[in-house]
Amino acid sequence: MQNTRSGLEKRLARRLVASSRLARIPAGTMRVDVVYLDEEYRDRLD
Amino acid sequence: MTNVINISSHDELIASIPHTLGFTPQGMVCRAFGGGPTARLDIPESPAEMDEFLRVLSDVYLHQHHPERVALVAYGEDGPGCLQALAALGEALVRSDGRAPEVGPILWVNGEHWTDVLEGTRGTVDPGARTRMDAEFALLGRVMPVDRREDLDAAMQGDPTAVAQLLPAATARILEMDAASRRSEAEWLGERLDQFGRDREYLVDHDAARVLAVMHDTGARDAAETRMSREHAPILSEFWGDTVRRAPSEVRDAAAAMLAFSSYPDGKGARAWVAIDQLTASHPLADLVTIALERAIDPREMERAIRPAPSGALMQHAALHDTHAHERRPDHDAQNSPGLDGAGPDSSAFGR
Repeated sequence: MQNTRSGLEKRLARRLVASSRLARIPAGTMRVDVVYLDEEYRDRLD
Repeated sequence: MTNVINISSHDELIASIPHTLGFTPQGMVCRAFGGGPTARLDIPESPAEMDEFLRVLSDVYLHQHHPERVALVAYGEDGPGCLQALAALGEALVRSDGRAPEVGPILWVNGEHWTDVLEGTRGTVDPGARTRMDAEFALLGRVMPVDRREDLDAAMQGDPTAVAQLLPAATARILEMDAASRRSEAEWLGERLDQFGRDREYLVDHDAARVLAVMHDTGARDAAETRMSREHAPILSEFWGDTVRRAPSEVRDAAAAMLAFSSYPDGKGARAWVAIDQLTASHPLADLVTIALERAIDPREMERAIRPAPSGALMQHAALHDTHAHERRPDHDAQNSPGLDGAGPDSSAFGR
């Protein structure tokens, strides 16, 4: 039962497929720790 | 309101990076400014790894995202390895034919000492710069970074004994439920998450066992997953982090998957990876977070899946509904009226 997708997981899978079209790297490659900043926080390099 | 942190020196740049990542890194950090994610990878140790390293980061910064500037900072004792990786990556980004970011500064950091590869200058990180960055990020409500990436794993370990004693009864209770009772249980889970959003009181052992026992159910997971948003991800990470620490091994995967799921929109890629590493078997939600991490997909895409934008027709309908409602109730106090989804002042903490 755990391997059945919930409704949200099905929507998320479709969204990720659409978003992944931009990516040129295959899945299962090097691990990247990616960090996206909060919407409320910006920094500036002077 | 947007908070702006000005970074005006190499010392401040180096001092800010642990706060951005949540831990003091080793390896290559690509610190993005003006859009796009910051990324950390291990320094490649072979020509094959170098090829993959350059391919992955070129994909992130030349194809998927377009930040204005990327600072490259390599952390490690292996000077030649760090310098080689910096030179190769800098060249790959600068010599691109496409829309490339400005690249720089390019720094090698060994302990407290830094070397500017382009300028040929060296220095030691000023403790005052660290103090200033600590204060700036504390004002934003950010917790202090941990010393090492490995500490993120340690923070997910705890004592499952108390919950383990209650789990058999909780599991038996779920197994005896009919479909309607399971739907009620899923609703209870959603309400319990909303309550945590309001009072931040962690689950008592009995409720922790009840949550863990039902998480294999897709309806229950849906109730938990649809409460996710970038805004609420830090709070939900607290909830699932505590649950992971107390979960017996046989039900820990679902809580770890939820922690990974909340860590990603929270912008904590390393913690999401470490949560995924806790899993003992494939899990549908964790598999999706893995794809998002590997492809460096913007967390806002996740949010769009959780809360799809209303279609044009729906928006028009909503506007008409709103107009007619005002026509029918000209004196109605708008502040006290529920929204279109019925969410008024007493709605859930997570705004569903």
